[in-house]
Amino acid sequence: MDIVMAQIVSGLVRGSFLFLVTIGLTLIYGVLSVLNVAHVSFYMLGAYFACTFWKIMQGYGFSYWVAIPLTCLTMGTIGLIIEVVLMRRLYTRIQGEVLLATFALIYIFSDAAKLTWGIQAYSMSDKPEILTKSLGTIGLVSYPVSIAFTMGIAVLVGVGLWFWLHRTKFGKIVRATQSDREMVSALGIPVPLIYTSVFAISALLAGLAGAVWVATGIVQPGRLDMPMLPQVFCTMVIGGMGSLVGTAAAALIVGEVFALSILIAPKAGMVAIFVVTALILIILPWGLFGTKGRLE
Amino acid sequence: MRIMSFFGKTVPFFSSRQARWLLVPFVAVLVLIPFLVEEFWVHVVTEMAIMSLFALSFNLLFGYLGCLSFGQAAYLGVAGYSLILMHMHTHLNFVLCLIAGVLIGGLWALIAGYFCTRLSGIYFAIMTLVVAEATFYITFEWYSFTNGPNGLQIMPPAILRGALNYYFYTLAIVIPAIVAYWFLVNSPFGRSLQCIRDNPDKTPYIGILVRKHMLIAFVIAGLYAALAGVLWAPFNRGVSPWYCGMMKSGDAVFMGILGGVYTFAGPIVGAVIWTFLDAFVSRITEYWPLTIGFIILLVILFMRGGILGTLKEKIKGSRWGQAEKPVSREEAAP
Repeated sequence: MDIVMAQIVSGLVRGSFLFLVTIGLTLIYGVLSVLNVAHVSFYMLGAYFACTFWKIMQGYGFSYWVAIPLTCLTMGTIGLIIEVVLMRRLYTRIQGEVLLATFALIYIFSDAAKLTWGIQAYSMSDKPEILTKSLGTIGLVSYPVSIAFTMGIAVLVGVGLWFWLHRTKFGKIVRATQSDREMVSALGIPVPLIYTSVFAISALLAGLAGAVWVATGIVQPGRLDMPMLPQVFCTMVIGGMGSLVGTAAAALIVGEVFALSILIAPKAGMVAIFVVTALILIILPWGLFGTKGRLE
Repeated sequence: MRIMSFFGKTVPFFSSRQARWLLVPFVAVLVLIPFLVEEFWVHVVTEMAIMSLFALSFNLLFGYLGCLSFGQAAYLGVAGYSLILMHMHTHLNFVLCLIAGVLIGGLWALIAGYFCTRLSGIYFAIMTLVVAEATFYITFEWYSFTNGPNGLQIMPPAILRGALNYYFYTLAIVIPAIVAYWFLVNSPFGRSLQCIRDNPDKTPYIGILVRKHMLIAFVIAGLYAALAGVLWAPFNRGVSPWYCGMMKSGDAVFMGILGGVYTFAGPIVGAVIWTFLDAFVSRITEYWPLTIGFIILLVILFMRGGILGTLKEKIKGSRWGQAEKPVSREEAAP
């Protein structure tokens, strides 16, 4: 029974982690109606930046905690630049072209990361003490605090985003832009500015996900960008593209499916995710929380 | 009115008897190439021919049907694997294995297409990508059958081992396949696909069964990718899971976009340029993805319609191909 419990917890962690990566993509898709595939590259860059910042401040107890906001800021800036330089020109194009342009960005960023950071693997050698402490044991399995850390950040981000979109003025403007761009623009609100900020926030979230990943895993070229893409896509389509609640639910489903299928067939985790995605799409072509007509 | 104009149009390029003679110097050049260049470039030209089929396979779905497929490599990979596995386990005739490889690739496309054609737009793109990645993981993890990440090796029969021999063998398959493709996209069936692309909502009202057409197109595209696969596997002396995944699928997409998806010859031009760049740039720098990434970005930003598409606009009245840019699908994006 221990192992089932351990897998359920591991699924939760994986799910919250997937949520962190996917939510930025969902946000862009929901508001800007473009699918930014390069989001996974932002996430990879975030992980690299977090490692670098941590390394600069190595030895201090606070290094990791300062590295997180620094990473978010850096990625937010990079997102801002990319929006202004590239994405802005693509909003009027058909979605296939946007998909391709951002796919090209993945190529560029993966090589740029190789050029900048080399091909060796990075990891935090001295993690903050609090993260490595044991949270408690169930049966024979001990759970470190980093699990709670990942899940906590995911919940925080989810609740924070919901609050931002539904309870603040800026968030309400963003939602209004999503449903009627022209009307918002007619009210004197600079829509391009809204788009830029939403894109930057989404890149910032990807950076946060990368920084959180560093707390538990290693950073290696070719491991963080491309391999994440299918899982992130599955999460997006299961939840319904552009739905915040849907993304949260789908992330948990994908995480648990992966973790639990390992109990039955150790190697079939990814394939199980794809099968579940296919089944859900056949029964509900718009995903769990997607609405028909949001697309195309 | 746009739809009706599709049926009243004449078919350019191959339609007139004179134009048909243009093919003669073209084929003559293809035949002469291997005698003029060193062996390395013979390999490159062979690869160009195989990749042309792969790019055409993608373009049947994107350029003619309007569905972005990010998973054509799945059928290429499956066909390659089937060919080698058949050859290894059954010791049948090479030609039989070849045919079986194509058919199994097509079967895989039929299964995937059954699910994918229920979706449209971005969901279709993601679903095809998911199929490709699933194929990747199956071949990657199934050690006992597919030899996992090491892939499988194959030596082609003795008669096909030389670079020259394999080149002519490839041509003998690729050229008829391209001609068949020409007839396919200009048949009423091909026109129906373009009709679906231009207005999927109205198409059913003129009596075209949209899903059935989509599924058939999907399977035919899969067969073309599979044909490329069975040519590719012996050429490459083996296959690995990476030939089934989304990266390889992305190659087909980029080739199509580079050459121009709304032209007949665009994907072929794209495949030729892409393969040339691959061979050429790889000699100079190891940062091939970086280079190609920038090239793709530039093409998308400044050369809408790819190389042939742009040429077509520049040279008025030139008849590079008949498929035109769809007008009604410009999504009212923000």
